[in-house]
Amino acid sequence: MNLAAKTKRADLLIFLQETDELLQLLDEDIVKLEHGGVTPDLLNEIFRAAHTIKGSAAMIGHQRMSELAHAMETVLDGLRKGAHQPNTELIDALLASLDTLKALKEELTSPQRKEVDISLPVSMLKRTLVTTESTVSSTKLPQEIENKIYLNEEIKEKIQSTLKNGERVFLINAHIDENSSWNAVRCFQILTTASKLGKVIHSVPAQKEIEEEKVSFQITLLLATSHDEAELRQEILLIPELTDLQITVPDLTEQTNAADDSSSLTENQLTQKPTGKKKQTIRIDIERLDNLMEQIGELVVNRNRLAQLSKLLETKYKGDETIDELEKNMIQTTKVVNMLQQDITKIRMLPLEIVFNGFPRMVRDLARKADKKINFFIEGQETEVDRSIIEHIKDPLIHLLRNAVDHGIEPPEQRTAAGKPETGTIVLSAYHEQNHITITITDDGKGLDPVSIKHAAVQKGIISPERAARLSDADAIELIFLPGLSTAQKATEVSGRGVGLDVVKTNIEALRGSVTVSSEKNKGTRFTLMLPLTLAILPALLLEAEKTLCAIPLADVIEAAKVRTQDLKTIRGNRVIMWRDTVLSVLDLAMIFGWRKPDYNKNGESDAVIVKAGGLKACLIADSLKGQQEIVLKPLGNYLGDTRGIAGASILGDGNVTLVLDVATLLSSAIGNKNYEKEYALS
Amino acid sequence: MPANNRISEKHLVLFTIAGEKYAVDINDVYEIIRTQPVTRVPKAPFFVEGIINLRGKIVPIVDMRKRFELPNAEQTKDSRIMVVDSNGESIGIIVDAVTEVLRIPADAIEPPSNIIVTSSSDYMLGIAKRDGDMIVLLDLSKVLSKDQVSSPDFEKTGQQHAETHMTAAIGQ
Repeated sequence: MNLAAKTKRADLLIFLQETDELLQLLDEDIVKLEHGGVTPDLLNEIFRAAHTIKGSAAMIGHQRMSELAHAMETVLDGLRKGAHQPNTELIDALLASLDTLKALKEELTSPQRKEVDISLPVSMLKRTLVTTESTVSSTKLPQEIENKIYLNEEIKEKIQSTLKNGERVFLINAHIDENSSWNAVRCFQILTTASKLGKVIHSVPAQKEIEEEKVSFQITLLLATSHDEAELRQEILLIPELTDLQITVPDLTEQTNAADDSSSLTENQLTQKPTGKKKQTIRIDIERLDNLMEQIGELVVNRNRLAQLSKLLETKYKGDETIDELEKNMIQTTKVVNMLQQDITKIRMLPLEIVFNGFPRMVRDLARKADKKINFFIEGQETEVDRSIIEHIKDPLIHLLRNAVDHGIEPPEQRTAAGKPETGTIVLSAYHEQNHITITITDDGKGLDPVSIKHAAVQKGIISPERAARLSDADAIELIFLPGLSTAQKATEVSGRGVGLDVVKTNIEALRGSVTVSSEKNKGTRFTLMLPLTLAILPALLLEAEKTLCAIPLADVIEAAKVRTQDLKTIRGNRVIMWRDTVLSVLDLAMIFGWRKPDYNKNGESDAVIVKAGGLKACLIADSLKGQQEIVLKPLGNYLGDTRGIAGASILGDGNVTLVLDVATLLSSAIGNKNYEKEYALS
Repeated sequence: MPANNRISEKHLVLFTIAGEKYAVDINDVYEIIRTQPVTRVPKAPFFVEGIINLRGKIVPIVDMRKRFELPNAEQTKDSRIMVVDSNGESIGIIVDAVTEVLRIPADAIEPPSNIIVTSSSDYMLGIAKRDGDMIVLLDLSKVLSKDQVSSPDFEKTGQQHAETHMTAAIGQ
């Protein structure tokens, strides 16, 4: 687009970023609106978002975008005035406009010079206005005032309450010498001086921020006082290092007028931006963050080793002064490193909101398409997860939600016939639990039918009829995660339900998580996803095979065991062992890596680990177990080529390198996919 | 890495493998370290010894004797790992000894086609002559390229290479 050329690139980037956030906000809010959440706050938020888009689009010269946003604004204004209710027609018009706004925004970055047509959404919006035209035009002016006051509502209220006491309100703006290293102290002095003279209604920075030294060389405050301006000036000017002091009577109407160009100091300092993003943030290249995380991971590993060494020294040279000093330092260092580790883990955490945001709209659209009535609820969207997990969790969740809408919730008439409320419910919920996160998707639909699932599985040859007969209902519905169950006969209800669930399972397991399902016929279905908090530092079990150290992520370990050679059996040429009434394949690590020839004649006991990953269980034999340790997984790089079964390497505290096993692929390549059924049948 | 003809001098790192002298461009060498225990990696190409920890970075190690299919030899106190650049990745190569760093005029380097062709001539950028000595200038990206060797039937293809070269040599 040619306007892009005229606008400065930096301005454009800011515009795009800001618009992205606003569009996302609109997306969520309009859907909220449809679900009966019509509150003044919500309407105001939507109105302001549309208003901001209108303004900034005009600023960069995107005429059509500004026009459309204006049309939306007009409709939203009518809503705010209560001129009409958000009916489906209106919501559709707003969503259509929103989609067009998105397209208009894309237009700026797309290489194609195709111009998006805004006539359809505009006419849709206009149609919703026909009934209410008179109200809109007549309320133009009061609405604008209301808008301004809203921006300061909280403060305005406070001002109102103090004015009743017969006091006056002053806006005080003080600048502190920029060479001063006492700026926090000066801010604090100004604040306390002002407090002595009257009541501080609001200050930027706030007292708490000043105490934490989060200050610049400026302080702005609103003071309700019975003193006059000269007295205030006199008192405040006693504080040293002030370079500028302005005391004015804030004119509320004027102050909020300035909000529109948003350059006003008062506006910026005393109110929050309309987007509702209050925290100060900076954008950091993810790669830098990853590097930092990796280095801190190393530090953690090294700290462990150092602590070990210092303990050794202490026992060796007991009472030595230097050693005591070292010990003290060690404790301090440990503390700092622990905090660093916690902080960096936190930095990498993002709220699930980022992923969940788009879902209400998606569920709404899907439900409309399928002619179903669905209430969609989200809980715990503020739950924080590591960035690396967030990235990979969206697709599986979309999959599961889609399934819930398409196959879980029944059509309204069917629900009524079953004695359920016409509108179905889907709940997406997330919460923290110890060191993992649980996400559940629950619907109150028709549930899964274990009998049909068994039937489908037998028909597809996935399980044998005998085994199907032995399966409990709970086990039977877990079959929907098996590949192949769902591919054919998509039209049938049971298999339709399972579209791509094996992919969901694989994806979640790749994140070292798990997914399970529970369901009751005609009551509903719940999918439960368990995910680790972070992937960067993981606890692992170390073991040795033919003098090579290997690490197994603890998440994959069921337990450590001893295996006696005489307990090994052979089934169809495969070594197996009975473990708690389960027959497990026995894999000698050194053998599958080609480091040792099979030698089953040796007598005695071996160390072993019972592992579970990717739906497979097995008994891994090692030469010895070396205990548990936190490790930082590092990629092996491309040079080594196909190292299936190895997830990467890790550097231990003593500098040694250990291989980190990818148990899922290790098992599937060693036991083989064909034996899926066998393992299942045996377990 | 391709030799720039306009530069009249080449700055080389010299090393030996099984008594033969080799050199690589100094710009491709990150550092030279003493040998250290290597963690082996299953299913890696046969000439890859394993991986080491180089100040927190995992670096794969290639045994040049295995790479050139020379008989194994015990590592000595002269053995070194040269950490070099190969297509943007750091890779350590085990050599018998690193002998010296030297500058050589570009015209003292002859392209490999003029010289008797061996099975390893694919990896040669040329041969440098100095006081009657022959120094093989290695093309690291080719020597270390997995594509040429990572297939399991490398021995066979390697032999075929050798045979074609032999024929070429005889033809000359």
